[in-house]
Amino acid sequence: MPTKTLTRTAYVARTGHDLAHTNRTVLPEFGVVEVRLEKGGTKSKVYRPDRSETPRALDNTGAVDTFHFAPGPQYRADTWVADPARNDRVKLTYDLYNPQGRITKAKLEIFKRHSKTAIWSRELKDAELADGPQELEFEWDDAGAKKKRKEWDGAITTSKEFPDGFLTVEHSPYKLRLTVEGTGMCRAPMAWTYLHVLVDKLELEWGPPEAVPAKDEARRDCFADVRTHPLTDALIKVFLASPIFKRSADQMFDNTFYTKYKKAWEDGAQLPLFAKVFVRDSADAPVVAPKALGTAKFLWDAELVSEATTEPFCDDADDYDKDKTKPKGRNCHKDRGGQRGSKTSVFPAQAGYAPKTTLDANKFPFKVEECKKPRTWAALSEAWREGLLASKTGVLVQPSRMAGDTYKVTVHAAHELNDDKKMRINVDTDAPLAIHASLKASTNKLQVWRKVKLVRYMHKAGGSNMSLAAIAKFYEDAFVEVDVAGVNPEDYGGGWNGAFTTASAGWSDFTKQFLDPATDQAGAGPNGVYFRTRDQAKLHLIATYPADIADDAAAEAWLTNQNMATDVAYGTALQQAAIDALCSIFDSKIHADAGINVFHVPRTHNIIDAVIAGGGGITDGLAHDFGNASDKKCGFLSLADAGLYATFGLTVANYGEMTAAHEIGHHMMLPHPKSTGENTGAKANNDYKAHDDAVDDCLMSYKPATRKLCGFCRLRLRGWDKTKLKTTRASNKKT
Amino acid sequence: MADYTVKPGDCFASIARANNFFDYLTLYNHADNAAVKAKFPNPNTLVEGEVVKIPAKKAAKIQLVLDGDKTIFIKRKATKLRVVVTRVDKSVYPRIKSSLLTVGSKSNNALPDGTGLIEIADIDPAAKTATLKIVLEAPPAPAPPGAAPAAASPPPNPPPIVPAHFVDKAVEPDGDVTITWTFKLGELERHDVVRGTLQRLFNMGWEPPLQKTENDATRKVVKAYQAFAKATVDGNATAVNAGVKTLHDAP
Repeated sequence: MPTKTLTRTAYVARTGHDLAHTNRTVLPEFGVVEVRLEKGGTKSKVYRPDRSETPRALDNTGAVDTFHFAPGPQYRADTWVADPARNDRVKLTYDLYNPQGRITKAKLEIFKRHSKTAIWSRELKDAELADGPQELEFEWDDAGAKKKRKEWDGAITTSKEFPDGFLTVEHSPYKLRLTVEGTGMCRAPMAWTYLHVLVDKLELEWGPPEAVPAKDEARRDCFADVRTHPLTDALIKVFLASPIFKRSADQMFDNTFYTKYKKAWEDGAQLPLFAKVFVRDSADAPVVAPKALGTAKFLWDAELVSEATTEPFCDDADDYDKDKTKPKGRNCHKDRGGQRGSKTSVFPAQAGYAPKTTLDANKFPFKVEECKKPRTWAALSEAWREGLLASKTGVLVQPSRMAGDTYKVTVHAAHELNDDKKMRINVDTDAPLAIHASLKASTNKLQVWRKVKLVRYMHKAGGSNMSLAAIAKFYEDAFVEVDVAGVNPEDYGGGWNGAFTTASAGWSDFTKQFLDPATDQAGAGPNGVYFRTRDQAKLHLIATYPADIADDAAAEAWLTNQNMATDVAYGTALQQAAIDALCSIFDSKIHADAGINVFHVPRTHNIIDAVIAGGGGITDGLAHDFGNASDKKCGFLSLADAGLYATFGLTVANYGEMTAAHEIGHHMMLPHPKSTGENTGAKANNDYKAHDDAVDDCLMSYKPATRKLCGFCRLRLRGWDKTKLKTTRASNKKT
Repeated sequence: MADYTVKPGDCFASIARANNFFDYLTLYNHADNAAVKAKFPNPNTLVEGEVVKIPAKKAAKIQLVLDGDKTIFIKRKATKLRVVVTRVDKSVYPRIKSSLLTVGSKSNNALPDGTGLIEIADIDPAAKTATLKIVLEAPPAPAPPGAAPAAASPPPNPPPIVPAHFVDKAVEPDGDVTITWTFKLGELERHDVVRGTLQRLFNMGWEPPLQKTENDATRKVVKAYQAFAKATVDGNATAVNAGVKTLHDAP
């Protein structure tokens, strides 16, 4: 401590022998007793240098180190509109020990951490130097007139760091200091107090549709659907509409689906996710005080939270390098065509634009940039401080296109610094980051799903209905939603007979022998085609060709010669013609919208039951490439009902639906497994790379049991690169 | 009978001494000085320019019986210097390390008493100055702080204040303070003249210009005093002279 030597002169009187008067000599003395902020019974704690002393003692009774308020103007939280009536002004009080008026200079200053330069200062004027407690007056612009109030709204000098001229959360806490100079003894040249500007809480919300940069309808529709789900939902599915269907059998074996899906969705959906930032006012209430945010950064972090499924083939593939990527996780790795481990950010950089009262279409409003090392996979955003989105910030969440990839997004108030003056939470650690719960907000799970709409379920006329929901259920394992909502069974309606006539016109004369032109095909029943029975066929042959087929024996002989010796053989021989006719007839009913069409008849033709009864084989479904279909529209024939499978003795529930799902699988470019004998020729053995080698009951097989998609099929459907997958489970794993 | 015009520093004791009067009361109580006495109830607070009558000296006869060694005591009405060292609110300074009041060859190194009083009796009537040197010790250093508690992880909201994060330049309070007053003996004027009021304020730490009449400079200081005294703040020295006198002159 500096010693001080003072010299003074005094004018004194002797005291007479009989008197007692004295000469009081007083050393000029001054100092700061205290300086603090107060509001509503709360006051900030005052500090002075060690060994400070003033005759009036500093009283910190009830004072706190946590004094905080919300600087600047406020918005209403319910309407998000500026409300001049709302504010959180505080009192700045101080007490100078200055009875003799010896203070020559007194300066109030505010400092932020790690800086010697005051961000605001004000020298007290003469009247403000008086001895005793005072409340500082501030000048206000009140409707254009300068007025003084003993209230402070946190206004300071405008600077680059404080662009709106208010204290902000960004550099909080602050030190408010009062320093005095003068002549005489000063045992308390300064006092100070601390104040905070605090983020009270963050609340996530979906952004408006305008904030989706992409102009394509698919991404905009995707987000339109996502934002109908409150963020409080435990799981939000991000549906990527992907009606991508085969146009040839070869596409089931090559990587067409991966290529087309990648082209359609490339870097995935675009989900504007906003955070409402509330500042804590002096009454500990959350308020909207946009000017108090400054250029504070908000760190957005993604956790990859895909969980293990019940399918070990998939789980092993998901585990590929799961602990080596930043962030860790089980989402599809870049080596399999995925986003994990790649340079594609979940939060792509955005230029943003200047705050305004209306939003630009197809532009993301907030500036977003990649977080610097080490947490480069995170992103930083800034908030708007005025306009429609004042006190809000946000990112564009871009989950990968791979179905099943699951994310949890957390926004953090990132203004806290470490001892090295660096952003405290910019660290290379696994989530969750160590930060107070009030300074972050998280989504629940955002999970990518593909969506394929089933657009039509059509009968010829009546017949029992399949459960479309049961069909869709088979694809949930692959995170594919076959959307059957709003689809009701419908009949073909008028024109069947005309269409049939057209379809059958090309049949051979031989086949036409078994068709009675007089048959009202539309009115005959729900089955696809109504042929003459074998007995009727014989009568027709005898009547039509009496010279060659004179009697029943001749007819039998003739049919036998045509491999139609039995009802089984007869019905089997006519099956393909019926199927061809149905493909032709239903082709005109391919729905105009993208998606899957189901054309259902209980039997291909009227002889099928006899075929089954005789132990013959039938076709119960066909993933036909309809002429009116495209790579976005497909249809298949479902050629059985529950009764048919019961006849076969297939007791598996929803067998018809399973068959339908199988046909959909073909249209989604899934081939049969080896067991169906398709691994021949060029696709033989090792080249037949289509299924989990360890599974023989894939949905795509014909195994008469409860079937599910094998892991290989699931991964393909999820969008993984087929060429990067092995058909043996262990080969896909790498840890 | 001669006239003597008072100069700064003059009081009846010094005037009497300068004119070889053994006892200042000879002058003060002289009939020719009755008007002065009425005007200055305290013979030691005159005002520059006042005229004091210096009477002619009279020989005094003392009859002694010289029958042996005799010691003759002539009792003089001595003056004393009484200084009260306090803060302006009359509280005594804590931790006065040393004190030394000196008038001519006399000194007193006793610490001020409970009221701040330091006194030297029977001071030389011819003395024009005195000094008082006091050393005020700095407050004791506080006990060293205990070990800081481990930082919580994550930090609470609001976060704890880390004083070391604030690097603004500190200003240290004064440590030991040595004050030396030079007292101008007898120069304190009567309280009810402007300069007398201002001198007292000066003694008590205010810093007015020591002038006979008021102006803005005096009024500024008087206002400061009035604010301290919780009086009407108008800067009028006359309005405060009684209060100033009480504060300054009262023991």
